[in-house]
Amino acid sequence: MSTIKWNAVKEGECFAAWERGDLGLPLFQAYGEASGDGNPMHTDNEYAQDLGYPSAFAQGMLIMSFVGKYIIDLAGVGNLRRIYSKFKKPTWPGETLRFTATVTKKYEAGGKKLVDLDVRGASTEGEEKIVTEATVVCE
Amino acid sequence: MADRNLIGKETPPGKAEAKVEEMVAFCRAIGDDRWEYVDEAAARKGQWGALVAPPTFPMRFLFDALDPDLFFELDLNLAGIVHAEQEFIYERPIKAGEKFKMIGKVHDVFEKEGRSGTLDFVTFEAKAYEEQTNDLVLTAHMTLISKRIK
Repeated sequence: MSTIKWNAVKEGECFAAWERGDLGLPLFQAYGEASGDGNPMHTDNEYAQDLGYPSAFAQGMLIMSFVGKYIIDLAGVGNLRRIYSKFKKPTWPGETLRFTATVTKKYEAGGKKLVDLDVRGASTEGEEKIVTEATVVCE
Repeated sequence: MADRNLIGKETPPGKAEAKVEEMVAFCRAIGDDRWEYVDEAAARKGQWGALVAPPTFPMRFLFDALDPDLFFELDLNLAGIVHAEQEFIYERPIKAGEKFKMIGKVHDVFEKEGRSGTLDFVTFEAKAYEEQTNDLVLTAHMTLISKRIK
């Protein structure tokens, strides 16, 4: 199942936002274990503070994983061709992130119907955390 | 400092596998437990014939599969590294149980003067080829920024 349909999708179209909360050290710990990223700056406040950060903070790849989920919700499993994220700011425990997506291009290439998306993730206070370009295949 | 002469230098081939239990654990950790990712029986009957990996799952095996010598040759300040950018280009999705031949490469190296000193930007590339067919499945680019020690 996918939300984006080739016949209906339009350049400039925005999709419903998705929010993800429950961000904190237990989640960063669980993601660290599941992803193999054992860097303690994501799970140990004292370690992070020794490096000059106010506290431990989320792995960038955890936040990119949320972007991935949001895109797959829109495009359907197996339809992602490219995802390219820039990490702008750390995500801190207790923040809630809000993801939005806009269609930047609708085109055909190599016999495939493709849509490019601009996906943004920001805290609900409005600080931009991650900026993503994605290309998905449509039916 | 990072040496631009290393651009294009490759690692020896490595091996990786998309393991079912690692895929499922990863999906549960990121809170994305759709059936295509975690229900093996249903996935076997589905379009892909196996569990599918979510887009960022390859981080689990990508860089572990590559010889770290090339990374250390870049001589970055390891304490000051930040992950700045990440890209995955899929020819098709990755499925549970697949084995890959991995090739890593230094894709780009450049420096910028930041407010607090010199920053080294290094982009690594990793390509995953399905072991039996040798078909390219995934190209990944990881850009790290390292603050140079004065």
